[in-house]
Amino acid sequence: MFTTSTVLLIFLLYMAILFGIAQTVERTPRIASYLSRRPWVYALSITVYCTSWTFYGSVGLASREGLAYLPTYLGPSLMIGLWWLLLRKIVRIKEQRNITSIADFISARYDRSQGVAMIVTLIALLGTLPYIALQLKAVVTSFSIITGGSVSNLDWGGIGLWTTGLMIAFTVLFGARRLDPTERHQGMMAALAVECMVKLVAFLAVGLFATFGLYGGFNELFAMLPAVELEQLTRVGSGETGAYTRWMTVLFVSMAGILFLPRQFHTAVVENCDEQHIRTAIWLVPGYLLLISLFVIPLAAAGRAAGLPPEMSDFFVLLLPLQTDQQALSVLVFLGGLAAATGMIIVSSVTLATMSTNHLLVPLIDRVAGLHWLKRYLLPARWVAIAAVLLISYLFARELTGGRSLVNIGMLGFCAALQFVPAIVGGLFWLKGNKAGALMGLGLGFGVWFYTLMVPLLAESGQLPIRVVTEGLWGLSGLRPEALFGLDRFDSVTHSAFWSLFFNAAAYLLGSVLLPQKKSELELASAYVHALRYSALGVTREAAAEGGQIDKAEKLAEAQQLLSHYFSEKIARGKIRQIAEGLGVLEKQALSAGELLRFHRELERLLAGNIGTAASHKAMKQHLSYSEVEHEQVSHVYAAILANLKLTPDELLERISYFEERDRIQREHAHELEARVVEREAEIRARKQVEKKLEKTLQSQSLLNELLRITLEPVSLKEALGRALALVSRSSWLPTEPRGGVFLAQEGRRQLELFVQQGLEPEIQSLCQRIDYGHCVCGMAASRQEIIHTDAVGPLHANRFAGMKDHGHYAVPICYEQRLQGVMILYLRQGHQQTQDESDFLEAVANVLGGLIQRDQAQKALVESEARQRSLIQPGSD
Amino acid sequence: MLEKPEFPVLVFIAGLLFFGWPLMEVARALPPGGRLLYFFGLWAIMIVVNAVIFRRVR
Repeated sequence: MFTTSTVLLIFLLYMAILFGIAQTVERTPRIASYLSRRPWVYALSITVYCTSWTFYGSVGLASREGLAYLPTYLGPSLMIGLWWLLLRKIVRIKEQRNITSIADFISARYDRSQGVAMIVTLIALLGTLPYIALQLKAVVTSFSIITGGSVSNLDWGGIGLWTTGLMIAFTVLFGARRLDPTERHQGMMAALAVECMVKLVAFLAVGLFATFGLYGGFNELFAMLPAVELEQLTRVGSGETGAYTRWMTVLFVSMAGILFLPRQFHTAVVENCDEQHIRTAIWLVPGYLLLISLFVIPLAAAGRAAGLPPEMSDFFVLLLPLQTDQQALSVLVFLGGLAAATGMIIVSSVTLATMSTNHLLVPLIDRVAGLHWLKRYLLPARWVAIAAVLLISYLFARELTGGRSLVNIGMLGFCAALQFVPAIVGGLFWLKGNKAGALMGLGLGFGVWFYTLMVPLLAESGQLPIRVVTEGLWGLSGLRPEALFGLDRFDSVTHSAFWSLFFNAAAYLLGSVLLPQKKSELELASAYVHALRYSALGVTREAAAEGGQIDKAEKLAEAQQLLSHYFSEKIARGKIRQIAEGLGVLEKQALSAGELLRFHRELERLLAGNIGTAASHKAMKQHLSYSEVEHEQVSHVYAAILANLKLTPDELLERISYFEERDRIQREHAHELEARVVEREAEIRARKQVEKKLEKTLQSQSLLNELLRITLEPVSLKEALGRALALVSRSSWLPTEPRGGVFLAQEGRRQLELFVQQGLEPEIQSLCQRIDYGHCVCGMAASRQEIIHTDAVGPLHANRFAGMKDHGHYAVPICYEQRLQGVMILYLRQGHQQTQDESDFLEAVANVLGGLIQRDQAQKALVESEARQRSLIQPGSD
Repeated sequence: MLEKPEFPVLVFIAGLLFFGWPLMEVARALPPGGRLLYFFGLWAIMIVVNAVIFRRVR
């Protein structure tokens, strides 16, 4: 026997060594990197599955029920064969979504539901607390045994409290010194691997000692036992049907437990840094389980043969070396048990604290404004959570574990983990599984688990009235927790596993089938179900969809090479630049999968325009390549599109056909509309022209009216012609300059005489004072009696002077009854062309002016005639 | 779900559980030492098969 202080010292020394290992690993990146590449470290850490329940409890169970302990290890060994499929998928999802716990994993699948995360956390908490309590009890009991204390009256106030306090301190030091977004703890994992080696070595050592040290081998050892006892040790329970039912239940429950117990999920999934390590775990973990199970029956047999009390069978492992005074071996066994318990306690507490703070505390902080200040204290909150978990477990161990064996309390946690199976398996393989189904399934399964396993435990320990168990809730025998709906044929574990899983799975299936699934859920469901189709090379969905990871230069060079088969290098470069510019990726260094797809589509369209669709498609296939990563990213984009569309590929093809048809009809309709628009535009143009013409007519009409008014006024011909010239040359619609003149015809001399002018240069006034018919522009108009138009100073323009500005002319003959009265000359902007409207208008003006001149001439002739008549009547007046 | 490549494996596991019962019946007929050899032998074979199937191909 050892003194308490010696054992405490051994305990502290062992923990200090472990802490030293963890510290060294965390502070030395080289060692950390080396260990992270070693798959055996990962595989060994998963064997945290073997707790004190394995180390001490399996020998106790074997002693009582023979091979009934085996399914706890056979189940995981069977299940691990599926890990390359199942665990790899989970690990890949974890990498893609930065999963930090099993609650995170399940809730992320179901629309990131906080409700789902809360229920999972609650199940994990309630299922694990008894399990941690079991470990504390094992440590305290082994402490009592090795120090010679009482096993029936454990020192909970002393050793128990000390142990719990030390475990809180070590758990914080190992796993919660800082907040790590990945929740990976390489130091803790290294320490855990060492612990797993310690417990295996200790167990094998005591097994070998018992078999070959105390006895001469298996045969001699088994020969020491009566045949009946040997038969009992090597059969399953009592050998009855009930025992086999339990065997199958434990096998099934353990298959779930190896991965879905919170600590197992943490070591196997969250701490995984390379999915290839799973390959090693697939054989190393079952190998470890086999080795640690190998000496269970021999140790149980040795305990019996050594005459140890059967009620102490849970601690035969420690009692055997103590009985034979093997002090070193006893210490080793004590350390093995300690390693088994502390490994589980540390990992479970860290996991539960992470889940509690992330999924219970943080939502509460977010919801209650008064607690917002706590956001800055999440790390201390995690320490408090660790302390709370261990202290509650301590109270549980102290108050509730008295009447039950280690194994039965352990199965509580396994059955709790079983509740995650429908939500996880459904989530990984069934697209339709939805949040409503998960919430209903988890909630109902949790309720049934609590009622069928926890309520009897609480009733037995006096926390609840025992009649709830014996008579059922409200006295209804159909509601007896251990015989729900009258099912009393099975043991409590089988009974609870059956009913909880039945209600859980049924609610999950019904909820998922009957209640609608959100679009956002479907995308997540697709990401989970198709996780193995995506790359394990660290390509995330977000990166595939948004972030550019594909080298743009390489892709552009590839396209350049393809186009250079059909275009000159310069044109090919220009076209690629054009496409890149159109896609908005000109300045980017890398392309996303979506951008690469669009780039290739544009490239194919460009090529199709030059070499035809089929040839361009073939050329694209020949010359362009997708790497594995790009291929997966592209698949990812398509999967996301399909998931968003909520379609199967066939439905998608149907819809594409439908949309193509709709597109064709819409294009035809667009062409029709385009033609109508062109027609309307032509109509509008014609109308505008008519309006313009009308406006001109109106203006010309009002101008003519004005001219007519001038002709009626009692003014001289000179004034009347001057005002008429000013009016015409200032007309808004005639492109005339404000200068011009009116010539009167001298029929006898066949000359034109400048009678009225406006703004003419003195040189012109002098040159054009008299113009012969047929000379220069005005003479030509007079001789031809037709409007002469010039758009510039040309050969017709005989009268010109140096420095004369270029211009055009309208020379309009003024006639009355076919007799030439004069010529009106108007100046035009250079280049202006003659129009019919202008000619018609000027002709009308000329007619008015012709009438005016004729009247004036008639008046003058009349006055002359009167004067002549007067001279004839009054001859003597001379 | 039926079209998933993983489905045959799930069926295999379900089958294994189903046929686990007859395997247990075989164990019942064996002598005590034989039972231990039977279970641990099957277990060891399973580990070897796992190691061969999932060994890392370099």
